[in-house]
Amino acid sequence: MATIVSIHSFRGGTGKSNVTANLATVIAGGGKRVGIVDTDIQSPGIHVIFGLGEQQITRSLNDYLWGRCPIADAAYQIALPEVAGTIYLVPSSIKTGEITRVLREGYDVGLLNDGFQSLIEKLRLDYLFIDTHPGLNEETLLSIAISDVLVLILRPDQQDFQGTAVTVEVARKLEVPKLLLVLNKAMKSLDFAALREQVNLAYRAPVAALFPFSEEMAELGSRGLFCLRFPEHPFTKEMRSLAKQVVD
Amino acid sequence: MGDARPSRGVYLTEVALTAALYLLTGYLSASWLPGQFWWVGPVWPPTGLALALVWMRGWRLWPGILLGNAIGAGWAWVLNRPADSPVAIGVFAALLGLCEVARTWLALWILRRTVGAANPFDRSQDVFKFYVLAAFVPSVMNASLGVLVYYLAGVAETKYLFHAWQSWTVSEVAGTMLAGSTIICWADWPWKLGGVPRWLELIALVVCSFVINMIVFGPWGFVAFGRYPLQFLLQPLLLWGIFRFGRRGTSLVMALMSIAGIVGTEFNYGPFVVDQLSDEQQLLLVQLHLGVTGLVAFVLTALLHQRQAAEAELIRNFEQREKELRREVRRLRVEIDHSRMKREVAEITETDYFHELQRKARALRRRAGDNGE
Repeated sequence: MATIVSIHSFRGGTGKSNVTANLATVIAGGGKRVGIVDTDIQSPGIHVIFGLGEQQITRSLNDYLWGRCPIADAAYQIALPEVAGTIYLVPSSIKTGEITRVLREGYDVGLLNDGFQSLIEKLRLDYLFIDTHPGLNEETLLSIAISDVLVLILRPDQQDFQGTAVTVEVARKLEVPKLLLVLNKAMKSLDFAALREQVNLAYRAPVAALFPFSEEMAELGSRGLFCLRFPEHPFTKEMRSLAKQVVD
Repeated sequence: MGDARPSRGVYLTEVALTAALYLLTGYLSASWLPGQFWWVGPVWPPTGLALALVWMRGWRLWPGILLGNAIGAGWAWVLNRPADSPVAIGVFAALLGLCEVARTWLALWILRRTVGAANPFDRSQDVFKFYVLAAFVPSVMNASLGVLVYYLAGVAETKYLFHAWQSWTVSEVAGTMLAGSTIICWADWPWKLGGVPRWLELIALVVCSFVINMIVFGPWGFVAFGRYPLQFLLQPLLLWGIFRFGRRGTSLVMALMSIAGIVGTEFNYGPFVVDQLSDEQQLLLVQLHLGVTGLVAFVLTALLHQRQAAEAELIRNFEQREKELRREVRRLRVEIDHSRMKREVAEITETDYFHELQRKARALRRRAGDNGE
């Protein structure tokens, strides 16, 4: 059985796509077959991190949702020689017309679950990562509901704290087996140990990783996989630790 | 400053030192620049010394001032009228000593009432209070009482009384302004100038002051310029002292200027030697010049000090606020509004869609569990 991992955050801009891409790559580095679905149909972006250009994307999740093709046809194998396993990415369409159509017409959320299951079977995946749209709507609720592991990303910010509290409660009601919190973009001036402890206590859930704001990450600007470019960077080490907790 | 009560031995030593210092400066002034009276010259730094000492070490030193003044006055009487009775000399000396004590007490009282415990050269308004109230008013009082004592003792003639009073007043005011300000300005210990380069700069200031003073008030300029009014040449030195060394620099340049001005004028050098004026009038004139220059210089110094202190306070406040903010950020609290959270969770979970999703998710997990087994 494949493990479904949803990467979610209550607000946008938390670094969800970056964490998803790097986490999936680290796990694939252990020889696993990993799939990633970009369900953030309204503002897709993870394909950029994997270096997938607009010209290369001929099929997308949108095509599957509108019945134009099976989901496996929209999966692109990412060629990363330094990664032992295999990575497949199902991107969302980056065409403006298709994004506005989604916003205007919506889609059958139920199809997503079928698609995930189909993808797991066809590609014989060990892990399926779902890069969700921020906030709580039908699509994200479904992603959370079917997840074996929910990775909730938040920034040390009062608005994130409140929204994450709602998401954690909803996830508990959906009986998600494993809930991991990730603090991202933390200012270096913060007392990390105290922050971890506070978040642990507030949400009664483990802080699986804490990523300080990284200038190198900001400079990279989503133009590549950070953990492959900087394998010895503290960010990469923390990412490996997070991967271990997801896998265990 | 210095009001903690010392031991008896220390106290007696302080009193003795005060008396000795007063006597020494009085002796040097009176013997070198003799005035109309035996024990008050046209330049009288002991008044400034007395005020500075009680301001620094406390009012308890008054017996030293009394002793110093009375011994000096009595000794001057003996030298000038050795045939007079010791009792008369004793009464006369004691009265003059008490007048000086009263003068010093009044000056200190005025300073404490108007300036408080702060250094009177820290704020421009306090400089005015020092010059006008603490230097002038007590000097007028002491000159009036002193002239009266000399008159009653039969030393002063009636026709010279006003002139004597005027001369006494100016010499005491100048003595307070020049000697008092210098001692008070240099009283803050330790002298933190900021390392060897700053001390070298201070030495350079002293050397330059010496050279310019010798040109303005001394023989060096006399040969080339005669008695031209060159005192403006000292203004840049004052600015150097003010801007680079604060009130200590100002008082140092003023002290050197005062010594040079008074000594030079006494030796008939410098711009204040005017043929129509007597020696004593020339000395009074140079003291007036020094007093006014000193007032302006110390006011400017105080204004600069106030501005620097305000800037330092602003920087300190800014740094403090930044530190507090940093501490606040470090203590970032995870605050959750639980009632709002419950309301928002209910809005999501109390829907048919969510119940259906819950049911499906349970079924999915059960199936996955069965497959796993």
